Formats: sequence, C-alpha cells, structure tokens
Amino acid sequence: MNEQEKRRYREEQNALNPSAETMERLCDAARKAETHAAEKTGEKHPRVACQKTMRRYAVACLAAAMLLAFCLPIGSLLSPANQAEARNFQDYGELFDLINENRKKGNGELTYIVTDGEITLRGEEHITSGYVGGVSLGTDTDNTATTPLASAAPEHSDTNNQVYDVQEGDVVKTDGTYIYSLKRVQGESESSDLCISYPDEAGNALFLASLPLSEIFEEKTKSNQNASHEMFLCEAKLILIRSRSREDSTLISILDVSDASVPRVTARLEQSGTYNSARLIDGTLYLVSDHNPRAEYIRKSSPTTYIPSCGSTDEQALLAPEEIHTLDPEAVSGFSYTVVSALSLEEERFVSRAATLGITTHLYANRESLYVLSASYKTPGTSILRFALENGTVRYCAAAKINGYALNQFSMQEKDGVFTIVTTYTDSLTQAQYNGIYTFDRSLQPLGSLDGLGKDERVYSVRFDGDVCYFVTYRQTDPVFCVDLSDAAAPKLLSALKIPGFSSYLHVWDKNTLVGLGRADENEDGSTEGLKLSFFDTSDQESLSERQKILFGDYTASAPAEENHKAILVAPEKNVIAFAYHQYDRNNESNLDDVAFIALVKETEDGFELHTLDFPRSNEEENGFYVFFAKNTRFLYIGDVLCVVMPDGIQTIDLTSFSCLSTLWF
Amino acid sequence: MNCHFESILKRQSAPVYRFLCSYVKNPHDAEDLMQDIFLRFFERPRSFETEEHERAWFLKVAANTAKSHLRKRALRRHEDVETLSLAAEETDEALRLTITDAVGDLPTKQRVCVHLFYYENLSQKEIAEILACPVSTVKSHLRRAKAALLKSLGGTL
Repeated sequence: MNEQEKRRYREEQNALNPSAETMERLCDAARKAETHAAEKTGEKHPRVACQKTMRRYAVACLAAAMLLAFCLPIGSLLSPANQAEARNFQDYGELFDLINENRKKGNGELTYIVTDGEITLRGEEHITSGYVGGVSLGTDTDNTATTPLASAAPEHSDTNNQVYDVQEGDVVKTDGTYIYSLKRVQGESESSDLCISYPDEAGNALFLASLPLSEIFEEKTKSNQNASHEMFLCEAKLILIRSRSREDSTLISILDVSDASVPRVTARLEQSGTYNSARLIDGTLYLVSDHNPRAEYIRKSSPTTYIPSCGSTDEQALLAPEEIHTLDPEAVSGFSYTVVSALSLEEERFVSRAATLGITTHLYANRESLYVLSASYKTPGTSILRFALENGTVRYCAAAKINGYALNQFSMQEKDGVFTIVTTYTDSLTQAQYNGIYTFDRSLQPLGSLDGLGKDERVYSVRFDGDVCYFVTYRQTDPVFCVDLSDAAAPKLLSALKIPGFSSYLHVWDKNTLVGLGRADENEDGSTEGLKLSFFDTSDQESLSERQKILFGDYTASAPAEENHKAILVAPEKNVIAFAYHQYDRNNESNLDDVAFIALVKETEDGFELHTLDFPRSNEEENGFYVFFAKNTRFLYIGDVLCVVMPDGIQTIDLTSFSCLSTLWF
Repeated sequence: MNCHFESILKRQSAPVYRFLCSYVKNPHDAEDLMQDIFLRFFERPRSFETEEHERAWFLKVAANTAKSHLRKRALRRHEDVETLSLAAEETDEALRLTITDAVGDLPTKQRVCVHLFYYENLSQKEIAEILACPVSTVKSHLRRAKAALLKSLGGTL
C-alpha cells in the first residue's frame, strides 16, 4: 500500500462504527456492571481505611521523595495526603520520568495531580447565605418560582438540578420563553441540530429556529462517532458542549441567544479529554473531562502528547509544569487525567485549570465546594478530592481515600462545612456487605460515622434534606433509612422503614412527603413486579411510613428516570410529577421493541393520582423506537403548559387538565 | 457521568468493531461478536497496566472470538448457504471501489494482518502476539498481502 492508499483505508475504516443502539445497550450494561462490581470489591471499613490511607500516603510520599531527591534537584516534597500542600514539578520532563518509572515498576494507580491555582473569578461575590444542602428545588416552594438564571422570565422549571443554584447540563434547556433542544433521529449516532421553539399563549408549540451542530462547532465533516452533547443556559448565553471520544477532547461553543431567532456563536473553546460533567455557578462553568493521551503518541520531547490543555480552539494552553502537583508520586502509573477547569462566561475564556490522575466516577458541587470521586477497582475503594470555591477563587484543598463505593452524585452532600457520603462496603472480617454514612470536615478529616446498616444489601438511592439523609437499600425488601446529621460527629439513625420493593430515585416533595420512584416487589422469590411510586410520610422522622403507593406497568416496565434524574420533572409548585416509561408491547407480539407512556401525577384531596398518556410518535410505522425516544425525552413547564421535549419534537399539555394542546415535529 | 467500564467501552469499541469487521467481513456478525466480548468483560473484568496493554488484550480476545466464530460458521455452512451468498453479494456491491473491498478480498490471515499493521499501527511483533503466531508468519502474510494489493489496487488508483 502506498501512503495515499493507507490514508484512504484509514478513512474508510474510521467510517465503520457500531450502531448507536448497540452502543447504548453496552453503555447501560457497563454502568450496571460497574455498580455490581462496586458491591463485590469493597473491603474495609471506610473510616478506618481513610486513616490508614493517610498513613500510607505519608509512607509513599517519603519513599517517592527519596527516589526523586536522588535523581531530581528539588526541595522538600513531602506532604500528607490530607493537606493542601503538595510537591511541585520543575518541568514536564520530571513528570514524564516519574510516571514512566512507575509504569515500568507497575506501581499503584491512585494519585493526584493538581494545580495549586488560586483562581480569581473576577467580580463575583461569594454568597454564603445560599441553600447549600443537597436539597431539590421541590423542597422549598419559595425558591422554585424563579431560577437565578432568568429571574425576569415567566415561571418555569429548570433541569432537575441536585443543588439549588448549581446548574447541571442537559439536552434540553429553557429560559421561560424559549426551549432549546437537540434534534436527533433514531438510528443516527448523534444529535444533528440545535432547535429553538416556544409555546405561545394558547400553549401551542411553535418552531422558531434551528442551527446545525456542525456549524456551531465548526466541524466540516460528519464525525459519525457517537459524540454526546449537553447544554447550559446563563442569561442570554447558551453553552453547548460536545464530547468527542475519538479525538479525546471536549468542545465548548458559547452562543449569544439574546435574539433567539438568530443564535450567534461568540466563542469556541476546547479542553483535553472527553466530557464527564460540569456545573454552572454564578456565570462560571466548572467543566470536568477525562483525558487519556494515546499511549503510542506519547513522546517525552513533546509535552502536548501527555499534558492536558485548555483554551480557544485556535490556541491551546498546556497546564504549566509548576502548576502541576502530586500528592502521592510513588503511585502515579499512567497518563490518565481528570481535568477540571473554570470557564468565565463573561470573559469567554478559561480562568483556571487543574487535573487529577484517574478517571472520575461521580461529581458533586455546591456553591462552596467541588468534590470529585474516583472509584478504583485495582486497589478497591473510592478516592475523594475536594476543591474549595471561596470568595470567587478555586483552591485545591484535600484528598482522602475510603473503601466502599458511592452510588451517584446524590450520595454526597456538603452542608455547613460538613461533607457527608453514603457508601456500600464489604466488611473485611465477615465479608458481609453493609452500608454506611460518613461525615468529614472540609480537610476531609473524618468526623463521624454510622455504619453496619442493611446487611447484604446495597444502596439504591439517596437524598439529603438539610440535616436529614434518606437512603434506600435493597435485597428483598426496601428499608428506607432516615439519619439525623445535625451532630456531624454522631450521625443518628432515626428510623428504618421496611416495605416491599425499592426506590431508585428519591425527591423531597414537601416537608411531610418524600417521593420514591422504583420497583414494586410482591413476589416471594424476590423478583420485581412493575414500577412503583411511593409517597413516604416524613412528618415524624422517627417513624417513617409509606402513606401511599401507586403501582403501574408490568414486570417488563422500566422508567429512564430510575437511572437519570434529569428525565423526571417533580414540581410541587405546579402540583405535577412527569416522566416517561416503557414496557413490552403485549398487544402487538410482532413489535419487538417496547411501547412507551407518559406518566403524569398530581396531588388531590384523596392523595396522589396517576394519569397515563400514550407517548407521542410522528409516524405510527416507526413505533419500534420507543425506548430510544423515552430515554431522551425531558419534561419542563412554562407557565401552565407542560412541555414534553423529545429528540424530534415537542408536545404541549395543559397542566390542570392533562389534555394535549399541540404537537410539533422538528 | 462516565464510569470506568464505560470509558473502556468508549475507547475500545471502535477498534474492536473495525477489527472484527475486517476479520469476519460481516458488520452484523461483527456487532454481535463485539457485544459478546464487552458483556463478557463486564462480567469478568480485569485490569490493565497501560492503554496499549488494554487495546492489545481486546484485540487478542477479538481475534480469538472471530476465529471461533468463523470455525462455527464453517461447520454449519450447509445450513445457511443462501444467507451467506446473499450477504457476500451485498458486501461486494456496497464496497466495490474501496480499499476496504480490496483488503476484504485477501485471505483471512493476510486481511487481519493488514488491518492491524496499517490501521492499528501495530508492530509485527505485537500482531504476532495477538494472533498467537511467529513474527515470521506475520511478515510473510504482510508480504503476500502487499503483492496482492498492488495487483488489485493498481488499476483503481
């Protein structure tokens, strides 16, 4: 083959990709397997492990310092893992040599590389009176009417954010007037256009404008590589994020949507690594990506091949060597980073970057801290890394490792300086699996714990409500634990309610009601039967009870919101819960795919009532794709109109009568 | 958002799929085999020292899986002769003027070596490890493949 033929062969091969459905199925299996692996591999008591890890860090740091003092002319390197101080690198080569040495020796994997960056976020005042707990919008009805992003806009919902005032990204956003969504058709590996639509006064969905994503990201060729997208909305700026796995990079485009009919790109930025997650707080986007430099391209003489970078798409800036720190040099074993950046939306540039080694599994942020979790299966356990957001600056603070695994972002909360995490771990002596709740101060020094809960069960869902934490574990019955955290040094179990089934998602509806979406379990053999909405009475926290339950769907039913909190709308201020679910089509045996429904719930004098609508489809013949559409559908309200935003259209529904107002197909 | 297994899946699915396509010459079979490989890996995961190690392991598993698939298919060939010939016709039609088509016409072992050498940029030693054969065999497959490709591509370029 000559060079031209080789290039053509590569191009042809690059166009070959597994189907989007297969990839989605495998991604689901990966997530489930990860959770399953987490159940199996936890070993020790998390609190003890944390202390032991601190000692191990100290030993490791000492050993590494001796190694480095021998070959490198650097000063004092030592610092315990739980201190903010960490060693500096003199140049990129030093970092390269260290990692290369350790890789050859096959050393461990847990380590951190962080910048010491005191990052000044211009002109932003730190707000200490914010609601910092992991409390949903629904818990405080005074807060829900307006979001901080669009205070003048009509009453509307935002993405189902975990923490008030901390925006999470999603495929649909609204400012109360317009709905921004990403168009994607079944069979396509990725979204194709940004669509802007709006409901008029009568509730009819109308199309305003669309813009191809290829234009937004200035990509001339069709990538055909399953790129995923998320959006954020900050006043008149729409931020689109595109994760590109093949290029191992994340593109960020900032659009001016002050005139929504003519969205205009004002900046294009790029960060190393595929997109992991991000949070938008007070005009600053904190973006986390996983960077895995291609090993075959790494060359010591070329730092761009192994050091992450951020910047405009035209000009990338590497993390400076003196900014790069490591807490545990002995354990660095590969060039695999979690890159954290702060992007000022006003200046439209990165104000700071930082990186940790290892892949981030979960991320939690409130207005004061950003926590990054990294689950490790080689040395079982989870590492926690904290960045403080203080007076407009971001500062690396502390790290700790616990054994045991957290379920998701809802397993964490920081409130009044106390970080709390719920994990499932395996007791090293008895090999039994337990669940525990652990509190730390902001230096990640352990404060208190309550463990040994739910023997041989694992955590299925967690929700914090101020000083109280509710969590569900499950094997055959569903204990809902209620833990009082008002004394961080001594978390106290208030009650444990055992009922059949389990809840996969918990949301605080009001002061006396906790809503759980999950599965019923009426069979003696432990197999699950259909879906269930539980309404727990939390008025007496020492004696929780299930006030009401609604069973729906059969044993094949599944709701995307069980795994993705962004797929459910819980709006007590509008008296509505909305989500999609799908199940096997019994009326049509030839249809191999499920059929889907929209579930709408409202509270009446007699309790909660479920209304079910057929999932809208543009073409009856295409009814084989319900799972795809149900998974990618979002629910929001603007005024008294409920909008069902699908990848290929919008249906509007009257919030009072639940009758369909209009349907718009893109 | 990303989990550990998901990251591995995203890194390795495309290389594994493309390799399987080149091995079994049928995108549907390649997709099925790819699914089997990853589902098995999720059930019984293992750790890797480096990313190269990870990729080499997946390609090796893919090579073994594809080999066993072709063996099984040969055994039941009499059952689905029609399906195979139909698939072959479709493939020929769709890929007629491509390099992939020319590579696809090579015998299996030559085809696989060409893919790993020219697309995955692996060394002859790495290919030998994946295919569990001596380096000299890889060399001779590549030599013969080059000669065959020169002949078949000579007219198209």
